Amino acid sequence: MKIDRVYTSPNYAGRIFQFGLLMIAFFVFLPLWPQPFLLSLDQPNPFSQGFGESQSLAPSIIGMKQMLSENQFSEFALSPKLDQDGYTHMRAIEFLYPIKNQQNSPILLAAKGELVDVKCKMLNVINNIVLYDCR
Amino acid sequence: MIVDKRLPQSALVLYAVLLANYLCWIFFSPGQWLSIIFLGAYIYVCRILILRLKLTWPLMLFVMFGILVSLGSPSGAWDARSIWLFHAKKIFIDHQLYAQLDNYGDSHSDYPVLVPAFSATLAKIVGYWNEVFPKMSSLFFLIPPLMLSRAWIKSSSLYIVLLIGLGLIGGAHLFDGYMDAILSLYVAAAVISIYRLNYDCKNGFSNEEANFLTALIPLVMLPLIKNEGLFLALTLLIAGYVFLRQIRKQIIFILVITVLFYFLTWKWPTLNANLHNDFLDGNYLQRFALRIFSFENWKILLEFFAKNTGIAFTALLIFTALSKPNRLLLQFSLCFCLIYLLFMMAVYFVTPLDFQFHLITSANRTLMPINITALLTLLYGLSDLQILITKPINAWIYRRSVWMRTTIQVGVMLCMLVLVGWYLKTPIVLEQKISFIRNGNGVIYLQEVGTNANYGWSHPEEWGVWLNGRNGIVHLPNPNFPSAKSLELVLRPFQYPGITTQKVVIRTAGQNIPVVVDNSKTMVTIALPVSMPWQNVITVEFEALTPRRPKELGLGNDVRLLSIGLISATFH
Repeated sequence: MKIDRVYTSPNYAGRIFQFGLLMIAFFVFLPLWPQPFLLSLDQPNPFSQGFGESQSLAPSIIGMKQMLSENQFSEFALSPKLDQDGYTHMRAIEFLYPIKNQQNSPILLAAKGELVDVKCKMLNVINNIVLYDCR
Repeated sequence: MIVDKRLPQSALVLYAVLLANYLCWIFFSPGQWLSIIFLGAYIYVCRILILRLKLTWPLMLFVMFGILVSLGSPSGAWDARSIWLFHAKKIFIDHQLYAQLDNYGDSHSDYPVLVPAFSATLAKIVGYWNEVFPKMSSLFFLIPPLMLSRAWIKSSSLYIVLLIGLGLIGGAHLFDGYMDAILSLYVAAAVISIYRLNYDCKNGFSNEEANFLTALIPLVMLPLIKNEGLFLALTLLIAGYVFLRQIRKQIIFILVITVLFYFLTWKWPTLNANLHNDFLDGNYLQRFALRIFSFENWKILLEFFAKNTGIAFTALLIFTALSKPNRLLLQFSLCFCLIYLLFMMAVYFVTPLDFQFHLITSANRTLMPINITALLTLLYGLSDLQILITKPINAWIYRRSVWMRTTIQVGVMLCMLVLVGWYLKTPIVLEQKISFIRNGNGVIYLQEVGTNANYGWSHPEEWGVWLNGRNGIVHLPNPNFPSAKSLELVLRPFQYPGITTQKVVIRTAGQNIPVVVDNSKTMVTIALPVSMPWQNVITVEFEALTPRRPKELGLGNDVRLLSIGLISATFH
């Protein structure tokens, strides 16, 4: 009597199918691999303060935070030129929080070379952004 | 039938932890220790992924990949930063769930905060905010519905197909802080849960309570993920009421709980704070009336919808016609997708933004629920089909000799490798010139062409394209098989008397490369290293440090801010 061994045979087709699917999955997920990839031997801690700032923000925005924090200001205003730039406007609002954007604030951030009120005193310049005190 | 009972139970507990975190934030700001307890409870329940590794290995691979991507990349996506992560940051810093109701920053403060609340909890554990780890909350929200799906889909191969489909449909939105992929997966899981509840009630099976909770909890969470979650939940329950007659009372109960919970915990506070959705301003009916009678608008809309959901609907229609055992599930799913599609049409007709702009920038995300629901429904309903295919193939292979079996397996795998590589080859190959002249093959890779006076690129000309303003980005497809080692850029400096060099900073792969371009030459060649050859797209950002306007220099009436132009690029 011939024993039907089909029901105990290894799943060859399933194995081949899975291998093919894993190949496809590799190529599908490969583009999601981040550029730049931040985890490396010299910067291994994604939970450290300031991690990822320079890769996700323009240097001008990081400079704004540095200047405002050094002077312990709790609010700021953007000059018309910076305010009109959608990227700078939104990034300044969310990255600098809890330092808030108030349009009538005497603390002004302006682009280097931009004309401001004569009574404004220049406090610092970082990455082409100038911090003024207009009190 | 489910593969393992512990998986749905664990998924329910994970849903409960995420919801408990949100409820906690409603009443008080959790301290560091309570936040650690939430995270600890979540991770403890996830140990099932290791205990059942033989079953859950595809999901484990996905989770590990998600951890590396979430922790290895900064938050860059626009809406993710400006809306969701900003709301999470405000919750964390201001120690209250309703921190955004002051409407500071004009960042859609009426958007719900279920996921941002968990990001804030993660920040509470660490003690401060940074640009990377808070967006990991997306992965925590993806795990429960994926765990449920693993319990429902018997075959590991079909589960891998689900993950591949997620990768293709959701893409980077799975981990970058956007809510669309999370919302889509929750609604897809809810479709199957509601169907299973109906199936169990109809056949008198005993795990009705578990299925009821598995349907209720994600539906309650849907409106709190994104505003359109409320309409997804309503659409789903309407379709369920029509097709799933055994559970009409349960559906009404779920509907009441969902709407009540959303209203009490989120909508009422936003109405009290005088926050309204920007779609429902005073003129939405006028916009609707103007746009709906335009043939051109219908043509554009239907083209976008067909492009983004055509395959999903076609597959659902075909299998609804062909598959008898699962016809009810497929009909229910198809009805839900159709109603949601009609709702989205109405949304685009009333949008306060430009009609076409809104479609271009959001259609692939807003229609994601349809694609992912169709995918999960088909894989759930057709899992028996795989056994029908593999059984005769296995029988044929087993009748061959041992060396023949090995040869067949290895040969087929090698063919698959070559086919996949051939299919996925990039549009650009090594040594091929990418030209940025008018109608050149490189123009489509430029970001922001002719739309912004201070950023991006000008309209391409006969020789190439000017960088317009201070910043511009180009995304170039990286050749594969073989991959590139360097990228050669040919630039043209803006020449005018009195200047000998142009200073530019070129950013790529995390490196800032300052370049000084010799202004005496009409063409300058720069070679950049390709440090990540496996990356499919190489993004190159240009920042001009010394741009000038030709009009200011007395060189005509051109008011553009010019510095360098891009002529061509070549991968070597």
